[in-house]
Amino acid sequence: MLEKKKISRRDFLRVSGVAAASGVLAACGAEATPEEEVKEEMPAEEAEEEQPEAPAEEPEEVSIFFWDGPPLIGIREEAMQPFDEAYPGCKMNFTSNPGGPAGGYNDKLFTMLAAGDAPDVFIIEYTELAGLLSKDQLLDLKPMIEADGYDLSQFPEMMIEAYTHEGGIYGLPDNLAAIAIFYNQDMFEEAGAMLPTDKWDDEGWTVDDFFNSCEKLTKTDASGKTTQWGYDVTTWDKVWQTWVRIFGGQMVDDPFYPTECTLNEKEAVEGLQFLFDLRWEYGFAPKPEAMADMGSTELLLSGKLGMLNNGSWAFNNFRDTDFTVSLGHYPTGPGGRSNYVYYYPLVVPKTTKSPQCAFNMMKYFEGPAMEKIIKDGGLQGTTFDAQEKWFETDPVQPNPKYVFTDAVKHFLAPDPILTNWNEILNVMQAQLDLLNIGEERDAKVVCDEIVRQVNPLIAEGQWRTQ
Amino acid sequence: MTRIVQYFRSYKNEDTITGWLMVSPWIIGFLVFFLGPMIASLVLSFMEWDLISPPEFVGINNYLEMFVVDPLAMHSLKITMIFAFFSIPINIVIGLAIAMLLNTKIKGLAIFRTIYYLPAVLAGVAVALLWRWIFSSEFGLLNLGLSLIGIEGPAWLSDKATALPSFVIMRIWGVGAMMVIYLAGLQSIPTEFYEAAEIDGANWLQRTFKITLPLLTPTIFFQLIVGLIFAMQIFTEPLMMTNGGPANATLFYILYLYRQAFQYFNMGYASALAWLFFLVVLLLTLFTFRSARSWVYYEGAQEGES
Amino acid sequence: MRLGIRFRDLISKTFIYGALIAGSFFIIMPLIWMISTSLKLKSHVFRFPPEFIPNPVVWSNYPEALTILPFDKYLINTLIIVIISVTGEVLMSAVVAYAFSRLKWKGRDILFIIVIATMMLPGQVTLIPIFILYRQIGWLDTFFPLTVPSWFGNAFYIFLLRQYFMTISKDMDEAAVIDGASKFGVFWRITLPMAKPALGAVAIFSFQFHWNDFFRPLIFLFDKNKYTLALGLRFFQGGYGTDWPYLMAASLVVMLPVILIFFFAQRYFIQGVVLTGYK
Repeated sequence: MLEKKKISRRDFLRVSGVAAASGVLAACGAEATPEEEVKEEMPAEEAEEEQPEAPAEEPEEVSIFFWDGPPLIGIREEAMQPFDEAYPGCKMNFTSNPGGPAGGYNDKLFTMLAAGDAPDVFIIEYTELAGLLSKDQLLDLKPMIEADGYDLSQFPEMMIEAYTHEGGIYGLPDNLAAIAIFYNQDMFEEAGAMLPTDKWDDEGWTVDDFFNSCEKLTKTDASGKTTQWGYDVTTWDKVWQTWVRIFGGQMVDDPFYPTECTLNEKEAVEGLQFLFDLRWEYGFAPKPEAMADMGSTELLLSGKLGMLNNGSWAFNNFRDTDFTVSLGHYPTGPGGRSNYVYYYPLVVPKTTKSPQCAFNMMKYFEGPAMEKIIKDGGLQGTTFDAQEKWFETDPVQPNPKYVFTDAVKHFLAPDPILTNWNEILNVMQAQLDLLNIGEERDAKVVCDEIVRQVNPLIAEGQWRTQ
Repeated sequence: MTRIVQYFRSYKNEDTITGWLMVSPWIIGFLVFFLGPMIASLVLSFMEWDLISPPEFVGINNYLEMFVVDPLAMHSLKITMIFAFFSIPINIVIGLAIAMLLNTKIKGLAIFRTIYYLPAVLAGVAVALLWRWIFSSEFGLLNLGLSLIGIEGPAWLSDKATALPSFVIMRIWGVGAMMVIYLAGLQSIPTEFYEAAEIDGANWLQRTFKITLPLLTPTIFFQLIVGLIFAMQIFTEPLMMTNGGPANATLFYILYLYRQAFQYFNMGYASALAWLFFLVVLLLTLFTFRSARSWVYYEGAQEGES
Repeated sequence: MRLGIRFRDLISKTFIYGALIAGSFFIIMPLIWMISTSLKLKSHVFRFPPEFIPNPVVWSNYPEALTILPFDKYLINTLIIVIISVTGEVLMSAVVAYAFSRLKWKGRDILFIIVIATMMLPGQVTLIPIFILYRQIGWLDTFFPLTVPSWFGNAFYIFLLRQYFMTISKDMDEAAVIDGASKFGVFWRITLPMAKPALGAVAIFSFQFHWNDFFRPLIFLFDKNKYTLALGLRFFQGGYGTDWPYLMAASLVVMLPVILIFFFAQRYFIQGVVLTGYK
């Protein structure tokens, strides 16, 4: 019995020795790899078959990487299924990742990028585009667009400009989703408040009108406790940006080439002051919640909130209510009318082995696949055509949906193109939190502090030469 | 043959050989899966790496930056340590108390134990989202409950003063997870001790402090070390619930590290932060180990051990 | 005298039950809300004041949530991973822990500190090197990264078991050695059986961790047919919002096995239950 144990232990030791040695070797390889990565060419992550050398009968395999979640679980994949048939020279490998950008997608994508293993097509939040461009990681799509005669006028101009860098075009959109005001129409009528307009050019819905409506909608009971609020004030950055622009202010001097933060200028300060005063000065808005979008949907659905800010991806939440939920634009102010539109790009890494197939996938996505994505997935869609045909025409509330499509057409406020915009945003949010929770009531103080902290960061994040 | 066996069996040699052999699986795992990445991260801490371009050597810049230039690094460390300072002892005391209560002969013991264990099972995102809703100042369960007894609840996660305590409360809710370990520890106390004590006329207080607690010290020691490590590493909950806000009041250290690594792409700086964290926790742990000699009692200990 | 004892009995029993029930209430509230949410229409989830009894009761949330994604496949994948991992972790952690507790050898205590130290380095900075390592050895998109490391012991459990082993008296060990058993034999035949409660605790923890682990499957798996239950649950929460009723319904169902395992396993923690009415 003793002998048997001895032998097996010795074998065990031998095997362990080999494993340890290979482990150490692998570790050395791992350390060396980051430095060699950019020079080596890495095969697409999911390639199960060998990439063909000669012009092939074998279709080229291309991988596409998305995040997935409500309201369209599995829908994008279904919509892209017919791709292989439509383009016989290409074979799609679709990876669907749960959780959204903050819920794990970014962790996985960036780990893969760090390991040199990028998918052939992937979606990113717009804030990541500058970083990837500055490191020259992305493939210029312009040659293929031109060779194909692909019509870019089906997308908003500002979006194309946002994806352009030094004459090349580096992305196509995943979903052009505007934000707007969702409101409880029954509550407005009952309170005799002016309705938000659904026409972009309508000058008749101004900041003052908005204020008056808030006042009429806000109701308190006998004990002074508010039972109904007019509007949801939030630190959602897209919303406070919009209010800054409504009052004529801007976050930075030029989004395409920012050099300084202009948030402490008179107009921007006025906009922020107005927004947060709605809550702390006039009590039109409920108390702040932990995270920007939490709770407003629920308050509106319970009949306690008159207006909230949300985007076209959320309209599924409002389908079956006992009252009419409608859509309207933000009011006009000294700076005119404003909005925000999300425009996350699909990009292709430079290291892809099948650029044409990658581009084909994107074309298919923007084309035939878009119908299902809009109809079944409930998203706003990308091309003007698709939005008009399938998104606008959905009769289920909230309506009218052309509020969203108009907002996209008038899209004029891209995020500043800086490699560290994420960091700058966090700095801004940390300061604006003080306004949001009412600890600081003077917007000028907060904005001055923001500018003080952000200006040096802007200098760091600016990689372009004019 | 007998001489070999005798040599092997001689106390010291058998212990040594068997000891190393039995530890070898861990050593191999460590060498293969951990040592490489650990060294890689240490090397990276002296570099700047944005995940894509080749890393650049910057010497001790990262370490200087976290102490001198970047106020958020030390701020997040402070926040985390304050949290740990309160959360750990509270959870040890409550966890122990509950385990002791759940170690008595009562009806429905299995059900009670399962109920208290449930939070552990719920781990993750659903819990964080749940609690975000519970802590909602306008319409969360907590303030609703308080209003029933006439108290107006604070803004919890939206108030700089109560945001951090909110996380302590949330951790208390999850205390049942570690209860399992106390229960296991309580099993190891021979019932004869209690019987003897009862015969001697000892009351509950005496039995707890003279028998239960002393014999539980190995378990408590475990909970202390592990509790320290896990409290300092709090990450998912603040990420999902407050994202560090309001105004960085809940910017825990690991959350900040994660931001630097995966949102700002300062992997080198994040690695330096990781190693600072490692050293801090290691020092605290060593200190606890040292102290253990004076208060931890092992029935089966060998001479001079801690 | 007898009256006095019974009275004290009653008081302490009341106290115990009272405390436990009050605590249970605190613990259970979120769960009751989960159950209630799982049966609601999406637009009714956050009605205020909170509705505990949904109206209407949407039973179909359960079958819908569990079929919108292939949870049956996820279940099988998760079972495979969990069974392999838990077995490995319990077994190997015990082996290693024994070496740290009952055997005396040079370097033992220093190595033990190193073991514990491995729990201290934040995983965020070792993620990329580990990913690269697994890629080098071709383990990406397989179950290996999720199972193999467990067979080398786990610092947390090693620590736990080491503490427990050190509370066991060494009399029986010594007797066995005199009878001719090897040290390993003592471990296998004497120490392990006596450590059942701790082993049970490790098994429970390990099961629960691997069952709920979503991060490692997220990073290391790509083929959606290989996804696990925890990863599947993540789909209900995305960049555009959370589908609360489905998330809660599916979470509750996924939670059940772990609860059941605990419910039945906790019997092993009965032996030391104090027999008298008050502590």
